[in-house]
Amino acid sequence: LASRTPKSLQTSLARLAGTDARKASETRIFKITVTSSDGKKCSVNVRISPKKVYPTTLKQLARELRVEFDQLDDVLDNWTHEQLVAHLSQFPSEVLDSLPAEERFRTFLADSNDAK
Amino acid sequence: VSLLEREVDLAVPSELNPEDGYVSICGALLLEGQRWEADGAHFIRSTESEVWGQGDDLDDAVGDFVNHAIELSHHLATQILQGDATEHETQVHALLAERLADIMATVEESETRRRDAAIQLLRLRRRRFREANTWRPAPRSHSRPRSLV
Repeated sequence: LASRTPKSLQTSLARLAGTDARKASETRIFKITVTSSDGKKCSVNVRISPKKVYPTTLKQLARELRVEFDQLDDVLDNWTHEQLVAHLSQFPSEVLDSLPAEERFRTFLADSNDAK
Repeated sequence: VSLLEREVDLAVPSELNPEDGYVSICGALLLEGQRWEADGAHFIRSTESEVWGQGDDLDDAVGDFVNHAIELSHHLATQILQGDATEHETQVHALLAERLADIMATVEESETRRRDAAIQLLRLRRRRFREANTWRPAPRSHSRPRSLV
């Protein structure tokens, strides 16, 4: 993951979002549209910052793609657009629609588990 | 590590213990969020939308955050115009468009105030130095050269 650059992330994201590879270098926000597990049309918009890739940048990217951090290398190098769509379609709309909502949902779950 | 250094370390917000706040432009709210430091860099994540920013220092991170908000707003506007926007994207665009419009109004107001103040200052100076704004004939040595014809 250390060797990732904004350009290499743009190339991977273009493949995952099904964007025309020729337009990858001009695109900063990649949109992946899916149907959620509860049947709602949702989309995930991933932006690649043009400057640097820090380890935290990749953590954020994993969060946005709703994958575990240790899965990210495989996702960026090998997954197809169809694989990512199938993965995202497992989640309900409240998880896909908004990252802050998804984080609040995770915090709520963690707090609920702690309370038990 | 001294006690003082440890206290300073504790004061630095981390991803697990971020600092709550908001990003504003010219005093007008853009988005609420959380900031923290990691990998020798600064990060800001909005708690209202998927906007976030990163940078070598806090100013850099704020700049990246603002750019992300503007780029996302533009991207979502395009999606809406093309009829491809989801319900959530339309809501996020409405929020960003409202905040950016407020910011534009604030910036415009501040520019008008600054321009009015500059004009007022110019008027005062003109009044004060009115006497200096007079025509003075050039000294004889600087008068028009005589014709050699």
